[in-house]
Amino acid sequence: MTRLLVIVGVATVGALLKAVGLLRRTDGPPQHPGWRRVASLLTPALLAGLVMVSVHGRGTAFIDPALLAGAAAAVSTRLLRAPLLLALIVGVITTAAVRLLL
Amino acid sequence: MNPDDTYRSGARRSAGLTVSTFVLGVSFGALARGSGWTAAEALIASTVIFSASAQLALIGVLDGPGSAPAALLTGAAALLRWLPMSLAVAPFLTGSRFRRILTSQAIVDGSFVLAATGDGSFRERTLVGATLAQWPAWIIGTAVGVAAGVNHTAITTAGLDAIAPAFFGCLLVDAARDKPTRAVAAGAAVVTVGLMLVVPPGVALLAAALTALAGLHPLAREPQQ
Repeated sequence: MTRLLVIVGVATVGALLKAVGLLRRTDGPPQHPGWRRVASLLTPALLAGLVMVSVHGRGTAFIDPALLAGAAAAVSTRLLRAPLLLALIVGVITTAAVRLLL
Repeated sequence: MNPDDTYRSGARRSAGLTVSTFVLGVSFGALARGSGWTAAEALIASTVIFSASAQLALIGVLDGPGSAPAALLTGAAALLRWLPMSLAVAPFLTGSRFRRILTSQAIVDGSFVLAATGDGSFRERTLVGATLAQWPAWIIGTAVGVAAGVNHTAITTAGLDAIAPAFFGCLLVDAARDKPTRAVAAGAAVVTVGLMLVVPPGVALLAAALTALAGLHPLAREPQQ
């Protein structure tokens, strides 16, 4: 029961946080160029954070070397202008291969 | 309305992410079940929270020596990054107040990233379409993990857990086009890794998002075309 209450509590906080931006009084996008730039930088900043969080090893290593290698391989493939799906497949195969070797 | 901004394009663009969301959902379901959660608790969490970082943090705290308030605080902290994301997206949501509140609930990491145009504006329908594709994948993945008791080792041996970092990395390649943007992304990565040593990943992600405030500095402005 406690677990369920915590789950509902966290979900409620999450829902409120998602809607909080709507409390702004003025309509329309922010005009200040600095804030527009902040909004545009939010995506790459968050993505960089997400990459690091998702290569975080559970338990043994702080950074999972196989995941890091897979992400690096996918990014390199994408930098060569390969389609997204191909880059993802390269990432998965690389990670599986590194784990086999280690 | 932007002709590229449709529910369908949002769902299509999130295909890679939807697969990874499913796989992660299986992991969460298996992990929750293994930690003593009931199937209903795991499924309700995935349905109403829909955040891997918050849910995984809950497993860690709720089933450790932590109390319920500590778990609530940890889960909420993991979601705090939705605050700056909401502030960024809100001006681009349309319709009645109720509709905008409903649409704002589509804000999750992957959809937020896919909906961003790169100039600080956001595609509303892409956001919703991407979330409508990922949400069921997350819930079904959880159900599979709970029911089948899928071994987490099977997922890692196949390298399927690499889909998420590979996907985010590829999107980063597409998003970081100019030097100042790449510098901010590098800073965010360093901040995240540094903070992960002392705080849960969800909190580290909030700090990563906050590095975007560097955009207020003239040096971080977009290069003139």
